[in-house]
Amino acid sequence: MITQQQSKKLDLVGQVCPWPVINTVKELKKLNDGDVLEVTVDHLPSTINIPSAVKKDGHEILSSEEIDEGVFKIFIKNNNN
Amino acid sequence: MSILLDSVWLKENLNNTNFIVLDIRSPREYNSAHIPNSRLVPYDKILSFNDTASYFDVASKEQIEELLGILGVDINSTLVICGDRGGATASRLFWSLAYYGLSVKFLDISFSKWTSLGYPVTDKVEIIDNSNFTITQSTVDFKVDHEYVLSKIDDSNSILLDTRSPEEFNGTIAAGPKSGRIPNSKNFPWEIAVGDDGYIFKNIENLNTLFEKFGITKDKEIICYCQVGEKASHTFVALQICGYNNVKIYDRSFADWSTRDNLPIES
Repeated sequence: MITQQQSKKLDLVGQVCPWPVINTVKELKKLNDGDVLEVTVDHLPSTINIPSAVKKDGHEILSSEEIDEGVFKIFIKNNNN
Repeated sequence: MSILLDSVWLKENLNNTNFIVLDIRSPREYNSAHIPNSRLVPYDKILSFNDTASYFDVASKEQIEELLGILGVDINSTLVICGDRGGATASRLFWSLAYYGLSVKFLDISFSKWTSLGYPVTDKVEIIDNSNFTITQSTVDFKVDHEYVLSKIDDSNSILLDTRSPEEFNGTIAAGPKSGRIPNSKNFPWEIAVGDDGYIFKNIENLNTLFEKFGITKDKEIICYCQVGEKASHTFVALQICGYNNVKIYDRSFADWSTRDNLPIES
């Protein structure tokens, strides 16, 4: 069965460690393979913690960039094998 | 001399140029409202990291000198840390500056509390004259690495304090690639030292009672860690407030420990 790829946004602005990672991992589990999760955070350590945590589960970091002063967007391609 | 600065006193002394308030909240929050004459500290300027690392290091001496120079800090200034969200990020700033031997204090209340009390705020960003800031002091013995921690796992004279949540400590959730804790750690969830009603820390009597309850005694060396060194910094400051004088932070924390294959993890 071919699943249509979707994009989901997750706004985690205001959250601090460990919740951005926990909530990102939780959200990824709900998505289908190939879906893209767009995570917004304003807690700098999350830009390292989130990629580090999700990559070990096989998810792919498509990009991570600062979109505004102190606000970051991380795009993650889901890979729930 | 107390580490905490009384917010009532600061409110009455906002024009005292000997005290410089450093605001570590996000730029968006700072631009919206901040304490008059306070200076925004961009969080990335107090850290050293690269895209492939899973942890943060404290900024270099040169980075801190450049930052404080841009912020127009005079070598004789007393720095006052202002934060929010429980004060963990602000505590990391406090620890980083204290590590370089600088004179630093902590505003006793959060910025949210400051505003709720109706204390002065502004959205005006002052133009600051840069200074030439040079750190002349040696670093203070506040920082340890994984090898040092490993050597202390079975040392009864040291306490390894895991300041993360009980769930992270027990390994039921993980904020990184691996769950668990450093063997023989004691769990002291950092938030229990946060004060009520907007105070960054509990009062000293309650902190002392708390530390006593957890068996954290002044005759031991205390090594705090968390995931990336923020929450550990809050506990570090709380211990300093109570007069513990042998406290260190494993600043790379579990984010570093858990990505090294040869180090033991307990869960």
